[in-house]
Amino acid sequence: MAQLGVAARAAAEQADWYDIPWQDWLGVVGTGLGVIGLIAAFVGLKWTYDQARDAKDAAKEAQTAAEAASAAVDRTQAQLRANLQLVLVPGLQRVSQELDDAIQRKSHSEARAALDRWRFQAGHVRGLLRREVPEPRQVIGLLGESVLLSSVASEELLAQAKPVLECCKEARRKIASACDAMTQLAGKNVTQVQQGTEATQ
Amino acid sequence: MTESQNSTARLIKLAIQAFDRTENGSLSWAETDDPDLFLYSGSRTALMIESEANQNLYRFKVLNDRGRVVEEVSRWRGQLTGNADPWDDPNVEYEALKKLYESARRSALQVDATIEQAFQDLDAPANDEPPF
Repeated sequence: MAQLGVAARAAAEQADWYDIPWQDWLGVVGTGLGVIGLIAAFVGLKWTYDQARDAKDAAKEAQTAAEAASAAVDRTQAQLRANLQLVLVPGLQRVSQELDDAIQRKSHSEARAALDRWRFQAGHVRGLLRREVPEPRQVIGLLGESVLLSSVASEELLAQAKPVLECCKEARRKIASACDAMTQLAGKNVTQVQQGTEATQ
Repeated sequence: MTESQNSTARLIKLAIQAFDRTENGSLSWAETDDPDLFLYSGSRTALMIESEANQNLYRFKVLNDRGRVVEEVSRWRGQLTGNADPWDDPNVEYEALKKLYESARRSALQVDATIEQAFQDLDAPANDEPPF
């Protein structure tokens, strides 16, 4: 018996790896595949985690960018509103008054000059108001019409065929309407700014 | 057709469309300080129609957002349009501008509403107060 054990041991020692039975080979291959599969699973899991993390970072960046853009729009709007109140509306009112003074002095040339200044300033303000969100269409329309009427009135004044008031009556009326509408708009914007300030406090 | 003729044809087409819109009430005109010139102001463009030389000339202008005239067409009574077909009425463009002018004028001066009011004033009982 001992001799049998010794013989078996000797036979085993003498056997090479290609002498392993096919069933055992299946086990070896299976183990190898299992290890490879495990590695692949870990790699896939890591990739999925990385993708999710990148997506989250991108979403966070986009949110930050959107918030920054929104804040920039708000700042522009606030600045426009402040300009309306402090600079633009008083400027338009001044030109309107200059036109009235020219009419009173019965000066065709002064009235023409005032209308030229109105066209320039009202056109500028109209361009700024187009950036408002939402666009104040009624005011923009009034300003636009006042610019066109001023142009026609200016031609009438140049001809000097009629008294000053008759040359620019329609333009003057539209200019007055535009000034009133602008004053209302500026007042409304100031209220909105105040309410916005109170809301954030 | 030359580019100029194309441009004129488009302007006349625009004038006809403006006339149709004015007649159906969807487009309103305004008076200006020139009693023979009427204005339509849109959101981005404007139109002007005027009459000169005792209504022997009509001029139609298209203006851009800044109030600059970008295109205009004018027609005298009797002016030939240059149409190749001699059987065409050469005054068709003049008539189109004339119709637009008259329609714009009625819109700007609110002629129909004023006449209606005049009828009502006549039907109203007499009072001691003068109308103005």
